[in-house]
Amino acid sequence: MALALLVGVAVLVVVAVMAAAGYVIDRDAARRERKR
Amino acid sequence: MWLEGSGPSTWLRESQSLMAFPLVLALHTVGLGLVVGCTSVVSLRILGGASSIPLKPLEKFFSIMWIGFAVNAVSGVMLFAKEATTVGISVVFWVKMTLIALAMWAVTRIKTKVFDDPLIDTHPIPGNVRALALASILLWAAAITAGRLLAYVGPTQPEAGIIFGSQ
Amino acid sequence: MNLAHLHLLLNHVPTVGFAVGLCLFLVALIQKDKKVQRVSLGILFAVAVLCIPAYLSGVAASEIMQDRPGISTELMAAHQDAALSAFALMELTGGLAWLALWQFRRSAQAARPVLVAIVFLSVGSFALMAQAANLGGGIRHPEIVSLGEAAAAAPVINTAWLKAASLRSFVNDTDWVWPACEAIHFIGLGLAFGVVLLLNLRMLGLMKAVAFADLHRTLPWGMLGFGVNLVTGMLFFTGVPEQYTNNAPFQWKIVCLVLLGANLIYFTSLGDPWHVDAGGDAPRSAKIMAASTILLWLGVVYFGRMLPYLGGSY
Repeated sequence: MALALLVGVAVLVVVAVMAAAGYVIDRDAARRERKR
Repeated sequence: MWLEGSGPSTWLRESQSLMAFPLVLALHTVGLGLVVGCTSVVSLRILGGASSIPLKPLEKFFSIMWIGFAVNAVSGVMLFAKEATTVGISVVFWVKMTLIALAMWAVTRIKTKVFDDPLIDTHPIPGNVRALALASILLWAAAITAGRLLAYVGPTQPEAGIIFGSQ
Repeated sequence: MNLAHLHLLLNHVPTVGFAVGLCLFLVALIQKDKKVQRVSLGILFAVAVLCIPAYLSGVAASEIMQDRPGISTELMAAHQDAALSAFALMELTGGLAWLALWQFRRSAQAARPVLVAIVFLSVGSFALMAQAANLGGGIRHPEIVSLGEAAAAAPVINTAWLKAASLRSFVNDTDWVWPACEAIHFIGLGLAFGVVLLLNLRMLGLMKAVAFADLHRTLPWGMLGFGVNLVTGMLFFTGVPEQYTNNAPFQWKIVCLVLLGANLIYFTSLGDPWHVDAGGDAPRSAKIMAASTILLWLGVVYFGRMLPYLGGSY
């Protein structure tokens, strides 16, 4: 049970970091596209 | 259990051929790639990513997703039959099945609400649909995690010393 | 040719190749020459891709060489640790170089913070690479062995925070790390595969209503998926290298990944795919690249999944 929790938290953290990075890159690209 | 004693299941378990268990596992992974890939891309687009892509053409991805789902349903049944007595009583397995059911429900709701809407691409996507997209991403990630945990928790635990854990 | 030999061939890339790319990049920045900036970023990315088999073959080489007379195992360990840090920084540099190339394609220039970061990271990577190379040379060259041993005792840049041995125990001695890495590895593959399908099926004629340039914007998602897979993959490898170094499916998987690096540059930077408009048909070369990309990715997934069954080293 503890194992499942630890694994779940690790996965969630990684997914959140990926989402944040993807969001920042995409927002920047959108902003530049509007400026063009 | 009758399922384990059945023909295909015995073949899967006892066949040393590379065409048996490893191939079924490989197909299950490819199917996963198709399902999670298609749903991730559509969900991320609904959440606002790459917003210059029109939604309507992405409808094709649902067909590909269903192909992947079918591959995984078939390969999944075969994998299940191989170890039915141990996996069938595993809580983690049923959690995985529930997560997949919920994820597929979310995905089909998205299909109905967004892609079957004749006004698609004319108005911004409502918040409840965006919530569905987020749920879909999280549910698939959780289903994958549960699938991996199957090898580590409960009756299907590997013997000590095998690092890989998967059957 | 064995893997030790391969390592000796490949390790010229993250040293000489990287030096060339870095110098070219710095000159291009000073001259404000965008074309040369793009070329040098491409070189930096290519070096980062080839650094993967360079590092992996290095671990294989250490397994081959460790019992031979005249080989200092302490030097090999010091070399490996230095190389690991250099590798980590190199991959980060390569990832940012790719991002800059992607930005160059989309808006005719890369974001300044990205370029600045690449300058600092590449100089840092180069310093770490030079140190690793110096230690590596000491393993087998008696004429500089005394230099090597002194360097191993007190490296110029301390990389003790990232030792292969500590990563190994992190992966093996905790019970949650390995399954978490596996789950993340599958999630990464799902995301990468989705973007691969989106772009390559378009080239092959599906979803013609969309311009390739719009789909091109999803490439960073695919790279994020690949990125976490590179990290988790390296954790697997560092944890139990013996399962991988002589494992044929693993070697094929790496070959597929290196080839995919070339396909990635094609779709990120080249004009042929970029100019496929909404309703447009992709040129023949783009279709071939698209088909090969899908096949190579299926290869990566297949060989990855077959690792325990075809490899024979379990």
